[in-house]
Amino acid sequence: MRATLRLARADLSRALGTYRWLVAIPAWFAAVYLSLGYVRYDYDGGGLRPVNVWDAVPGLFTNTILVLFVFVLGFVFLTGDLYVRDRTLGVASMTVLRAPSRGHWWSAKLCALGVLSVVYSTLVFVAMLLLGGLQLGWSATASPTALRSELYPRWTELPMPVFVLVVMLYAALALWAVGAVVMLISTLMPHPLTPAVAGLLWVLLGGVLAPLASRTGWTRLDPLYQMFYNIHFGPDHFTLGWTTSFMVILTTLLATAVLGSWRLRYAEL
Amino acid sequence: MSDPAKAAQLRGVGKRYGSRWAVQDLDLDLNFGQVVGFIGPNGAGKTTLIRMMTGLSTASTGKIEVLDTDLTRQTRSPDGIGMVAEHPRFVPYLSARKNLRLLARIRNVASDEDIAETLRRVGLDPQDRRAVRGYSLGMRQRLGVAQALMERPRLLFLDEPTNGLDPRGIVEFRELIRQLAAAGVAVFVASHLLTELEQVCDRVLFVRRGRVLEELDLHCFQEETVRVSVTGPDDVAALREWAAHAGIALTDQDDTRWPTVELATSDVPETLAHLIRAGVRIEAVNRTQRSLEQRFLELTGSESEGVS
Repeated sequence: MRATLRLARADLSRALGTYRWLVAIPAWFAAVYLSLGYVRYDYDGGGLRPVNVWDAVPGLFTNTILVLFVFVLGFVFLTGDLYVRDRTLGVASMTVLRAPSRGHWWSAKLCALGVLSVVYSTLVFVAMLLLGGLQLGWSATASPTALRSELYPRWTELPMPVFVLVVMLYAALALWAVGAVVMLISTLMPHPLTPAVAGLLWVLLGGVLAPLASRTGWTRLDPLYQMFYNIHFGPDHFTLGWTTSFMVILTTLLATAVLGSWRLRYAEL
Repeated sequence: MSDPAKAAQLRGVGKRYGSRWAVQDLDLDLNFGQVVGFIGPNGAGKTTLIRMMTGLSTASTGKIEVLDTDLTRQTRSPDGIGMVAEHPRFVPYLSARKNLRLLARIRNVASDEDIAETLRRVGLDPQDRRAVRGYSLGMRQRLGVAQALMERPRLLFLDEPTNGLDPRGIVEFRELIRQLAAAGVAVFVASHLLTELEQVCDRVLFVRRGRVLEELDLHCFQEETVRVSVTGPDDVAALREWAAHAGIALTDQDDTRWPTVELATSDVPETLAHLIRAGVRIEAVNRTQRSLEQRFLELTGSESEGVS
């Protein structure tokens, strides 16, 4: 276990050291800036909604396009090639030789991916809160929109900052599972473009087309579908129990750990 | 592998990618304290062989034993291996020392003192706090060697280790290899610098299209030739006639003032006596030793393959 964590630390250092973060963070800021109108304007009723900073995160995290095409694909762009890059740049030769086994090496990658999903989600949520505060106004309490659950569903018993934190952690957990699947696919076809193509195809086919076609049935067990916290709230939204979602996410992580370790036993590094 | 002196033993090893053999029917013995060089054109299978011997890849055929571990079908790298890849990559925003610390923590074998000592040994300053992104190619190469040495390996694999090194770095590197071999480390080097290999290796393997063309023991490779410059074309003809009769191989040398040929013999007095008797007018005679480079060119022929 300690060797896995040490390997994960090395992976993390490399993953955080890429210049891609300098592209991803401004891109995310721009996307949030452009999307805040979705929270502010009431397109059905007309006029402005009474919203504040705390509405930015839960409001935007019900937006399919923003979540899938910016949040998820941004993460895939940053971390999807964690395996492929190590393999093609010769880093694997330095770390695999020191790892107790390839299983440890793969588990370390998954652990690093988990930490990266939290780091990424935190940066994204900070951007949302900063821009949300500047555009929607700062406040310590829930807005009238939040109190009426107009724009998004929520637990009314939770203070807004706590609710926002829960949404963030849940998104990070779901993102970890999605990233792990993309990384597993890249072990089958170790090409630099595989993670991006796999991520895009998954978002298009599984994230957008399938739920639009059918919001019930097995398609709801797609790990990508778990990205939306609002699927757990009542009949107005796509209903799925929290337990089921957590089971889907944990099963996905476990399956990627097992399949990845098995795949790497035969992989050319 | 019962012989304790053997670091690695390969028998009939082959590696196939689709229908193409990258390495074919390769036998190799590598003893502790020995430096073995691997020479071949692009695509000869040098890197593939290193990857198989380090457990990064499996062999399609044959048997590989490295440090008493059978790597034929398994991809677990045995302990005690150090490897320098062709272009080693590090965390760009960390210093050399921090990069090594990050790698050393995985096995937890090398201490901070070991890291500092290794950095000094390869010519890098352990106190240098500059990020690796500011390093030259040569400095990165030295750092690559340091990461392979810091855990005191018993078997060291070097893939084009002198890439980017300046002349002084190459001399230091050569000295380092000699020290390691003297300390009992088995070293396997794949390099395109034939003169470098000639100076540090005990044996070299010439490889092309995945097959070993020749294995040379450099302690025995002292093949000498005699260069004879003669007065005119008639003398060349006479010399050719004599060489054909005596069964001695002959090659023309076109970089000299006089018509010159190189004879595959080392017996100067006898050769001269014969040539004078044959009426050949001789202008100059030199005893020369064939270099590894000449042997390599002879083996690989006139094909326009680049050496890598």
